[in-house]
Amino acid sequence: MREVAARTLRTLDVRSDLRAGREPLGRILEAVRQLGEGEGLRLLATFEPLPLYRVLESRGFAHRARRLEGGDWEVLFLPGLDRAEGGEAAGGRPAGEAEGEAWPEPVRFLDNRGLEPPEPMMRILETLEQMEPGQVLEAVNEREPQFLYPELQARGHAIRSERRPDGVYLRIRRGPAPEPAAEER
Amino acid sequence: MPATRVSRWGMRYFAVALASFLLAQAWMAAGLTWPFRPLGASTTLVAVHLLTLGWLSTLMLGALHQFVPVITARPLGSERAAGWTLGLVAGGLLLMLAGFLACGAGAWPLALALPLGGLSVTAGAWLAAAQLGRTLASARPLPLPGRYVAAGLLFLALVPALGVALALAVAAPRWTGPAAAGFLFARGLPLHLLAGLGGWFTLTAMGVALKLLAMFMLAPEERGRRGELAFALTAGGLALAWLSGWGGGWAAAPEELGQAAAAAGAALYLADLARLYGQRRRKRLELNAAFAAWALAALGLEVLALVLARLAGSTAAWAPVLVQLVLFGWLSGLGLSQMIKIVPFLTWIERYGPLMGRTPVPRVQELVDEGRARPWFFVYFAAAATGVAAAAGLVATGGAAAPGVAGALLGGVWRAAALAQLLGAAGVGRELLRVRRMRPAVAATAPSTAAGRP
Repeated sequence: MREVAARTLRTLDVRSDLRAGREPLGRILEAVRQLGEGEGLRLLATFEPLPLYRVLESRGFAHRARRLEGGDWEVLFLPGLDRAEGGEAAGGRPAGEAEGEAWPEPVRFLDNRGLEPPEPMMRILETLEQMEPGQVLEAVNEREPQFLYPELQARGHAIRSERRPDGVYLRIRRGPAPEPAAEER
Repeated sequence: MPATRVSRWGMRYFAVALASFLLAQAWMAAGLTWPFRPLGASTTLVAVHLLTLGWLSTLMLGALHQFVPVITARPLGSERAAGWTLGLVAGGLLLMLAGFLACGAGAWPLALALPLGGLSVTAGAWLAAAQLGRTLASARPLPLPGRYVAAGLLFLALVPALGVALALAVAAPRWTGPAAAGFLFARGLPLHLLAGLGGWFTLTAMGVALKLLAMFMLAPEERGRRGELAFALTAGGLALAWLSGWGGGWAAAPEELGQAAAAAGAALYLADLARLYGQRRRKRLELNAAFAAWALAALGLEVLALVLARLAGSTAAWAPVLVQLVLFGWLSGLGLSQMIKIVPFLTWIERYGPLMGRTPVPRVQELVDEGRARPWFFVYFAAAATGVAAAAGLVATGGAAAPGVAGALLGGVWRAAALAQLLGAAGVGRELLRVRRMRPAVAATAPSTAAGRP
């Protein structure tokens, strides 16, 4: 990763949101939007916000995470990451990206690590059913969700997966049209 | 995109396996095997092959056809091959059982059913080894559980072929000649056991246990240097012992070295699995993990007993006890404990996969009643331990050879233990059948939302 000089940092603490069960993504993206030229974001969270890395990388932010005493996380999102290098910093582009077609940014994120099979599969399928056709879900699993793939195919969703040291990153694009609910294999 | 479907054949494998297991234990409880008949008696061999081929091999092949794709993230070449393997192995087993009984009755040429059945089993085993091995080979470098399974499959290819040679020596000694038959019984028979119980069963079970326990207890599957070393010692040691076992004389030293390496490897593996239990992120142990620990303890006891028997120079005398411990404590114990997890899991995926997210579906845990299944596991393991202890008593007192009062008493305990073991296994089997038959009313179940994790 290229060395990024930290200029000004704004701090956003979403720990109370997370503890209260509120989804902090909106606040984070809003804070990022309000950053000035060359400004970075210092985010405080109760867990390492892995799905966020990809989103902010695509907007040109590199990250540095460290665990604080007491188990919370401090993550610095620093500007100046070349877009072309974003994938490299993340250890490669998502599988299938080279095929040319660009997918929209994910609208939903699921961190399925720490869940016993088949719960990751259930959460992904349930979340997909709540999304609009064409929207993208990003999920991080401990391992390749082997039994999920045929189900995604049967439902007409597209998937790209990438194995990284901290998990298998999946991007799933909801199929173009909602299929009949009573479909059977 | 790698994809794994629930294999059409998996449940049929499991059904054949469980039926063989129950039948073998009924056969034992009926007193048709050692210690009431000689070790080499045809009726003893019927029970042994019902257990090793009908139960354990079929169970493991069924599980591997399902889990090799999971381990490697690659689909199997052919679904039909899984059906052929099951047919060849189960059909071959029936022929073999008939052949054993015919040999015992001196009914030539019916005895030829034994080598013919063996050929059928060999064909099925080679087909499976090729099919599964090709999938594993395409996924190199293999993760650790995959390497255990690959090594187990190499031994799988050896066991039935050597078995056919032994079967010919039993069924048609005139064809093999006394010299070849003598060599086969002296050298080949122990190596048939070593390749079967040690290579094929134990290596495969070690890999599958590592994979399933890591997966369901949420523990790291990468086991680092120690895990690699355990595998290299166990698999390499078994291979060395097997190869040099043919030699005799000059080969005694490498054979002993191989045995020692395999024992050290198994001990390291067990220590690493104890660490894996400690690293798990799911703190509550489900039935499969709780009773897998008992099976792993039995493996530890087996390794210890093998070392002690070897040091005392009495491995041959204690062989029936050692075989009973490895078959019922370690292998069958692990098999039963994993079935109670994977049968509901596969049933659930098969039944509710297409409905997920569209309608509320039950949780996989709702398919099995752990509280009802648990006592049967206690019965099974307690009975298996009692049976092994009775067998050890019989060997120690010489009761199996010349039954006195103590021998008769121990023999009675052994049979009662076999019966209790049968009951325990049947109880677990009934729970599995219930899982397959259960159709919880989908709409009546509480909805499981994405947020609703336990």
